[in-house]
Amino acid sequence: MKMKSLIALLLFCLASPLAAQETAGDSAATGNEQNTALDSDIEALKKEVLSLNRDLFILEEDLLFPSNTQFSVFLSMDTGLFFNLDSVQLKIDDKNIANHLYTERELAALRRGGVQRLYIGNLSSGEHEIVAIFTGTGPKGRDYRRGESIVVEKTTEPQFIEFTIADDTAKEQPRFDVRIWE
Amino acid sequence: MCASGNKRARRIAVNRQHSVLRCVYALLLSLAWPPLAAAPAGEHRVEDLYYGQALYQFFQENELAAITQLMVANERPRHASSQVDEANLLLADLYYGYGLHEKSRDLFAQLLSAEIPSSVQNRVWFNLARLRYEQGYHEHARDLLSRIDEQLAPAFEAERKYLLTNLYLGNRQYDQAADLSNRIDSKSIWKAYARYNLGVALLEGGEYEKGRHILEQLGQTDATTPEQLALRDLSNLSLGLMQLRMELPEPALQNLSRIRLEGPLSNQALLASGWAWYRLQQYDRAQVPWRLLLRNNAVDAATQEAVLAIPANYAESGQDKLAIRHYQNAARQFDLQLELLGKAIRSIDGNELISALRENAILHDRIDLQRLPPSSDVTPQLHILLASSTFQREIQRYQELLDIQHSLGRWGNSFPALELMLDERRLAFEEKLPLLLESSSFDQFEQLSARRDQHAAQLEAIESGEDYLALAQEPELEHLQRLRRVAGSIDRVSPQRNTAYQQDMLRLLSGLLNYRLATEYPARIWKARKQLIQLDRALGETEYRVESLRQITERTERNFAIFQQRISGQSQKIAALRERVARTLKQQEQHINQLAIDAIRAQQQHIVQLRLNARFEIARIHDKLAVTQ
Repeated sequence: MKMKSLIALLLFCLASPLAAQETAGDSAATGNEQNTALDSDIEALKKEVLSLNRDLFILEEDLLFPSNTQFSVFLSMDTGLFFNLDSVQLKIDDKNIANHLYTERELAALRRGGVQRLYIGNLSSGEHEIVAIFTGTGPKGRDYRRGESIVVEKTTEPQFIEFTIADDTAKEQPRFDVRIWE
Repeated sequence: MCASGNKRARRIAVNRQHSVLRCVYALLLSLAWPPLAAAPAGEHRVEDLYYGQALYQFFQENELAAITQLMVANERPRHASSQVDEANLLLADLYYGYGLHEKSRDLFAQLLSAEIPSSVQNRVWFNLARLRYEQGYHEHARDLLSRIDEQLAPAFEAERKYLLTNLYLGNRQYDQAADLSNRIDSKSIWKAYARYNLGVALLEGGEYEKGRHILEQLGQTDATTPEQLALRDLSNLSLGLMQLRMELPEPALQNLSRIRLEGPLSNQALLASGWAWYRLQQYDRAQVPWRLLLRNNAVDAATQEAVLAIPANYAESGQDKLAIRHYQNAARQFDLQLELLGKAIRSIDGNELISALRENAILHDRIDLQRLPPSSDVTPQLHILLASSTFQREIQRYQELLDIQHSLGRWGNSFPALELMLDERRLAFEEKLPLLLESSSFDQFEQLSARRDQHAAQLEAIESGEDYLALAQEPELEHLQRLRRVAGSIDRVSPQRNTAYQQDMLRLLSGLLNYRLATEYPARIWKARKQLIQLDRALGETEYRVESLRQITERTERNFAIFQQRISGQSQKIAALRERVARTLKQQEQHINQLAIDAIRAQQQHIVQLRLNARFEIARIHDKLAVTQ
């Protein structure tokens, strides 16, 4: 085999997977139109399903958590350099209502600015005490457990509480804040 | 010829006119890429719970959940500090990622038509530019990028410069591209992609030295992430192949030797290395990479070519008998491969490919597939098929359909629970209803209202007649009655005796009493009016409560009906959608099977051609030997 044919072979060889794909594309040419219709079908389906998901999500929430009793607790992080969160326990009026053990993925999402809804439920009007207990690793790798509480006056409007794990850079300690969304 | 760092951008950045390396890009595509960079990465505090929740899902790569959150958020009342624009920006980008390009473009346009802060506006222009660039509208993309009038966040700024570099390359403005690519943040992977594209463009444009310099730099960088490693390999392979084309086998070997043996480009690198040694007429050394390639026993084109390259090498070096033996081996190997390919087609017809796709992690993580392929006759072909962007797109669609099916199934299964919940609430309400109706005392309120009206009418009559006697107090009324009795007694005894003194006294006392009643009338009428006003207020409050309870009762009953209607409506919708999805899934499965079979048939044709070459070479060498003998 001469050098020229070798070069041709080399180039053919490196291009051959492509050639195979192109041939496949050509031979499937008759299927292309069908695929276009299929594409449209799939796109239409996706749109419908997204709307459906939205409607069902709202229906589920409206039904399970009517607005006059709806009560939600959220958790967010503001950098969180001094505390590595393992788990959160949530209590309302000394009754345990939610526990969450965090995966690395969830922690990363929180650190990047995500807000987690820890709990959604129904709460009667009046005064209630909300307690969140955070467990994890604090500064210098020490075990860390800290509770944060707030007393809320539940009205007939939906109520949102947000706990935030932040950094107290002056003390080099984590800080736990809580706010009621108006 | 382009490469890029973003899943979407990478996909489109491949310039389809430069075919030799397309297979390489396809292999690059099969690596895992980071998620879209549409959202802030801890760059600012989230002030919108809905947006924050969507980000929480998005950062975990749950794009569908993030879309749902953002769509729900648009239906809910938002707080004053809401980051609606930021949220919609993310939603538009997620729509794009989910293949809903029109929805994405509409939302971007909607954002631009509203009054939004300039930082958001710049990011919308950037996103739109990226979208238009990917759709091939390069001039429009350039125009949108030129509107950005302030520095974007670092991640976006690097990508903006990368896009502009590509646009310069498209216009063969190499100096501008070189200048801009140098100004991309060195920590960003976009810089490496921009430099790679520039290097390849320079090589293709005939600027060998400049292109070589850039690709050699990239080919020797410290790489740690899979993306950096892949790009380093790609730089070395691109340069090596170009040097082979330019008949520069020595530097080609140097660059090819830097490619990882365990990487996705190793087969191409081994094949090209063999040819480089061959060019140097070092036939024995050429055998080493080719044999290594054969040892991998892969079914890709590079390996198949190596099967022929070995005997060609022997023939060239004059070892004809050895060449014949290897050509015969090659022909047998091709027979075997053809048989395997035939078996693969039969197993695809038997739905094995779809089963493998459904069962394997392929649909979630292609990298896992490469490590642990499913056990199937189609398995060896899957790797090749997965290198094709068309096939990847179809698999992604298939995955999306499966997700939809799963989601519909989950919603469908949740309806009995929702209906049960509704029934329970209705039952609880019906139990409380009698008590509610009683406690709301509709009748009692009516009676009280009637009595109030009576009092008001009386007061009106007293006022109009200035009837101060009507406002007399109990002791005063007793005094009046007593005075009347005294007057009666005086009248009875007056015929028998003189009662002038008593009558004077009676007049005096009556006068005093009437005087007091008359003088106190304004204060008393004012007090009575005040009491009526207080009564009106109390009754108004009662009326409000009664009305509120009446409305709650009606609304609750109406809500139950609405909820029931919504549940039934959605339930029917889901049933219809499930049928449609099942039908579309079936079509998509057929389409994937057809694509796979077409690709395998093309591979069969290619191998048949190679087998023909092998047989031809055997005949040719036999002829040659016969002549010499």
